[in-house]
Amino acid sequence: MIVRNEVWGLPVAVEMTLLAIASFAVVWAYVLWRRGDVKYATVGGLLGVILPAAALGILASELLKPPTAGMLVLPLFNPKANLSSWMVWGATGISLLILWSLLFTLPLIKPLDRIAVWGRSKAVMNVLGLLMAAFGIYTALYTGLVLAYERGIPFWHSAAVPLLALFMGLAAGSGLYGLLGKVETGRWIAVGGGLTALTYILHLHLSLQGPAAAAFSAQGVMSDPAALGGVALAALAAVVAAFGKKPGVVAAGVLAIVAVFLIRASLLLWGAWDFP
Amino acid sequence: MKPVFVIDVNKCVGCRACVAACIVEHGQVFTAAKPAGMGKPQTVKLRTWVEWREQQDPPARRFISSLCYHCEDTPCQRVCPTGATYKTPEGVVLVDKDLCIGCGYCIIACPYGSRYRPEPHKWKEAEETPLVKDAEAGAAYGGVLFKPPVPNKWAFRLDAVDKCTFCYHRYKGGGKLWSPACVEVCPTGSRLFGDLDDPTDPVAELVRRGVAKLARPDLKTGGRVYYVGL
Repeated sequence: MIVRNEVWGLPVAVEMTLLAIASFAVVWAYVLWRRGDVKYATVGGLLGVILPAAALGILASELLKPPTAGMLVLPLFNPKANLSSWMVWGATGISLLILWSLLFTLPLIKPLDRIAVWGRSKAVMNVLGLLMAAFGIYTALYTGLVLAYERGIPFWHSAAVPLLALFMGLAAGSGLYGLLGKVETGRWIAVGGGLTALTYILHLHLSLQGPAAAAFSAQGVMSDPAALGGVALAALAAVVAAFGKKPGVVAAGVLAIVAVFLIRASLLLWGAWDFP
Repeated sequence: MKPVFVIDVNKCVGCRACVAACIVEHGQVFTAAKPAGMGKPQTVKLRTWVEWREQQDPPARRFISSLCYHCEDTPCQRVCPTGATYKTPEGVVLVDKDLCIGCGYCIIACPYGSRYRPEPHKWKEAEETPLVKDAEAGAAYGGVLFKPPVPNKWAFRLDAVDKCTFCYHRYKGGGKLWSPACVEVCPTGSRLFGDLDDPTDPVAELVRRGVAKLARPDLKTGGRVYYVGL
């Protein structure tokens, strides 16, 4: 008996899309700071605080015990945490991403730089920026690992899913800067969007040949206009961004973010169990 | 003691007395009823179920029982972020309802569909079903369809993930085997409960002889629920 997933639905798709945007926005924030573009680095750094915090908020609102949501902040340091759960490592990574982003961004904001004195040291800012970027990439990967690790839902239990999550992070994070008019992100939107579309198509192809529930999910995705639209938009974003002109990069940024949301939603909503 | 559950599919007549017994024992509330003093039905999912499966050629109907398999290699326990899911020394997988935050990761990880969480957004839908409205009329006659649960710390709660416990609250200790509520009421003896450590146990003997088998050995989770005739 094949049953579609209704446990993790659209709110989780929104949460994971926010994490995807933040994941590589912080990488760009660090890169731009190194290039001396403080204004745009500040935007990325702030997004590294706000979007993951919003994602944790959405996750908390989905819990049956919302008052216990505090457990999702640095759960690794909670003595009751189960260290074999990916959720513990993921929520810890997201919490630390918020922390590093905050520490990196505060010295970049004019009135606050007097308090955030660590910003005067370039070495400290480099370490914070590197940590922020590393935790951003880890967060992108986590949104795939949390799905792929267990065998319950065969459509998710695939090495392609963490890779897909990583490429979606690259597309969405670069897409956000593309949306803000940063032309140099164009080629990375193209790489991220293209690899996202290719990886998802490959994943669907492999799923069709896999267990019955995985094949059911893949067939469902392939008959779902929203899901197919996601793949098409990701590919279109790659093509439009590759030209490198500002209007194209802006449009590609929007397309990439919408594509990531649609692909993520289809991945979650078409997940299915094969119950005995 | 190693409790083991055997379901003889050939003997099941699909009466779902087991489902009703489970509901009463643990305070789950079916869509047909709602608890006294509360305006909403609590859940539309259950700890155990008997599915009626139609077969075309030759035409036949089979009744397949399902419940938590109490796996040896336990995916739900592995993914639980708060350590709410745990295993007793007897190998029964339980949920500490105080520790469970209801994230749903264990439901995603379980390949057998044995876990569920009360979904508040489904209450409205359930309230509109004719059966619930009938239950209200039934209550006016003074008839109580479902009693409050037998008090125990694994009973159904709105704020935690729920699953079969093999009626562990009936275990009195000392390695003495107990009888789950569903086994007690099964009119045909389709549901059986035994002790794998007891060499004279006839239920365990079905497992040892290979007459009773796991539903999905390919998943390599092991488990304490075996089927005859699946």
